[in-house]
Amino acid sequence: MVTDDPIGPQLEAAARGDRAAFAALYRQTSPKLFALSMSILRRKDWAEEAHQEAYTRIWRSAHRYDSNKGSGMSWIVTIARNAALSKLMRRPKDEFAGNETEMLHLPSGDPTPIEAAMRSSDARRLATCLGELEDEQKKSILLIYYQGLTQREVADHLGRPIGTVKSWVRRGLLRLRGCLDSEDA
Amino acid sequence: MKTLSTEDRSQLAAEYVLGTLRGPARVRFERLVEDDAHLWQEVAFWEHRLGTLGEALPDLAPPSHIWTAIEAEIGPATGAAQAPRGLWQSAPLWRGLTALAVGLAAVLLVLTVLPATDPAFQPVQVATLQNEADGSAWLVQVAADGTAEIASIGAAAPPSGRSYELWLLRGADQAPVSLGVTSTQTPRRLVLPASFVQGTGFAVSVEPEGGSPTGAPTGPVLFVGGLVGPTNN
Repeated sequence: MVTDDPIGPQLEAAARGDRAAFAALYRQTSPKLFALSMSILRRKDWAEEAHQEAYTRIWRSAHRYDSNKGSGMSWIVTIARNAALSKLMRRPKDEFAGNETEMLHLPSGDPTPIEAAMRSSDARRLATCLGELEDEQKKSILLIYYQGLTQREVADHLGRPIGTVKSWVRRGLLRLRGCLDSEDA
Repeated sequence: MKTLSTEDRSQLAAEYVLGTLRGPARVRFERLVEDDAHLWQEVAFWEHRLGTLGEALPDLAPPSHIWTAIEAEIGPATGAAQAPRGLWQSAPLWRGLTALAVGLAAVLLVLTVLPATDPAFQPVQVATLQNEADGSAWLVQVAADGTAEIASIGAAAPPSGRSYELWLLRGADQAPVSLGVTSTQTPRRLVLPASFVQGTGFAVSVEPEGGSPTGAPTGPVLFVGGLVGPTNN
């Protein structure tokens, strides 16, 4: 299923206790994963903690990686995103990340840089299917994915009722699933 | 949950992965996934698909001190020679473990193999990790396809705020590999890493809740045992 995946073999080596392979994996992937942590947490100190947590988890659970179930990159991205989301969900209620000064320019809603930057065939397939969604559906899903926003925060950000945003997300995911299934077929 | 349509289940899995499923609903969903292979496949589908979005981000180099901190947790990449020599590198420990594994072979002859939770699971080798102090043990059964199951045989629950963690022992000159936290309540299936070879053993240590923070055993190693049974290669 996955042929263009340089990360998978490094994960398998890390699972065998190969620290040099893990160091190489870190050098190769940490700029992407740190960008994701910063994108979600938007505070450097939190992002650094989440980033460290993510790679410690990757090292400790590398033996659970199964190349038949997906690419190594998407596996470590999921771990990094979960580490960042856990931190985000624990943040004090009165802290709104949007007030932070360390904001980044990220592919929060514009599909063009995504399509340009995506490399693997799976990533290109996802970009194609995202391109078939309505703009609001796509924007809502990407804001949630890249910035860890709740649907309420997306509604505030876009100035639309929360019910509308929920409906965009639900219908967008449904269409995404249908498109990915047909692309696979 | 069982009455939900395939579409609803996919939707829930997608919202879980995306992160819009939060609070008590998220916790309930995580419980459901544990016992529902189809739902787990849906989660894996979305994790893989949405995970590719990470490739689109512009690179942002993390400060170098983070790698230093990670290395401090997992040990340096420059080789075992520079790693601190801890308990696991101690020759007397390994001589002791070998003797213990030989002794346990006799115990295994009379041991009744527990039925696996999955009827398709066909163990070909077993290891009993015994606690010499009270005779309680863990049973690790290994199948030919590289999967294994661990179950408690009378092992007491870990102390409050602690977890049991299973380790794969690979030899005197190599650090053990974590196989994750293990419960005295329910048997757990796991996939053995590629580093698993015949003749290796297992151990269970007591760690902080959730598992060792360092990637190596930090607490007392209470249970140790070697594999016994016909090899499959």
